[in-house]
Amino acid sequence: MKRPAFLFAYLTAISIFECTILVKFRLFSVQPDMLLAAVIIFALVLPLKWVIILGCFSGFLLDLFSSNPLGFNTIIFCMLGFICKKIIKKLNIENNIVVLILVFILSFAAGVVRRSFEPGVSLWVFLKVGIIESLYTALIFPFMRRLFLAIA
Amino acid sequence: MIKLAKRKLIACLIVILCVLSLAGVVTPTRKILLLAFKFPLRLCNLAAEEFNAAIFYHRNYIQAKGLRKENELLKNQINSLNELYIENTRLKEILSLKQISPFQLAACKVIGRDPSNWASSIIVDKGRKDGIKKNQLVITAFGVAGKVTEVGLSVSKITLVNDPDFNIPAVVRRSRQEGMVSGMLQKSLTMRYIDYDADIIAGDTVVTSGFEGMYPKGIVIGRVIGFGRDATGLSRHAIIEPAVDVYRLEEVLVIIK
Repeated sequence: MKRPAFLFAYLTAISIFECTILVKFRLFSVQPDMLLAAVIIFALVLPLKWVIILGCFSGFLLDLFSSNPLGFNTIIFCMLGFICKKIIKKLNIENNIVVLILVFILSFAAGVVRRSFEPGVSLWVFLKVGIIESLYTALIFPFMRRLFLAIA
Repeated sequence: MIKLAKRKLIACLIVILCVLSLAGVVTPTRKILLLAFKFPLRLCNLAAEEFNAAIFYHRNYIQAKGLRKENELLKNQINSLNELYIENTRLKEILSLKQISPFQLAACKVIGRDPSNWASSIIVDKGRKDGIKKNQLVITAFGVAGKVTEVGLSVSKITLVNDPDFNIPAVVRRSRQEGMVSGMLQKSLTMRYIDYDADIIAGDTVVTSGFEGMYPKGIVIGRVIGFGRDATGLSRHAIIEPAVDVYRLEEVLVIIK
């Protein structure tokens, strides 16, 4: 692992971007989950240990800026990074379309887990937010991947 | 001789009379003739302009370039002035609310938003040292925006009114029907625990009830736009459109006292 400080700084920059500028680019009041996309990118290029560490850090940053209890998203992102790495290793995914489908499914799955802790959210709102968030995240994923590979 | 002079005088008088009478006739005639010439005149003028543009192409090009630059500068200035105007209007609203409000208020600027789509909160630039405490109600000129959930020294986190974890006792202003308002994400709230025969209709305004003494009473939360049935089937809930657009917050007021 050559530049861990750069990766932590990269995730911090993404989280600040998500809290400030990205809110202006909401579609139907939903914005893409760039931290989740970043974790999936790490799962494609980094070893398992670093995927889990960076996944935890991503979740921690999300907990820092959101109103969820501290540790809620940390655990979700840690598990997400682990599952994603295992899937990529087992299936040996190289096709870009398959990667995008994986991004969509993982984003939707993360939404399911989060919704299970928010019973006040109706099914209709959950489907609307979950699907739009997953599609939007899958849409920006290729650009984030290219940017990361260019600067890393 | 005298006869000749007399004839000449009469002739002059006749000419003068003719001219005067013609002036009364020609003026309206001239207008009609001018109208008839309007289109040919415009056509010729247009041709002259094109000819001028062709002859003085380079001069006109340089002039147009300079004017374009000036136009862009002026447009930028107008944009900045528009922004200042909008900000001024917004701050005036907040200031007038502060001045007429019976509460002690702390004005806070929003510096960040929750990046998650499954919660709704904002981060503001005031904290403990500005008198802000946990569970204080947050409002804008339009109504309830949320409540303070975390307080740091100079920064605080506010859970917004449409967050699923936000709950506040409320009453319908018209009928005093009580209920509990909760967030449902997106741009809607729900008022729960309403009987089927409760006096509440679409269009009713919902305000804070002030019960339990936690929050001041009478502050607008939103407007009833529809109804739904609870999962148990024993009661119904009202769908409420919040008075505050939580996705456009830039400044908020925290009720300190």
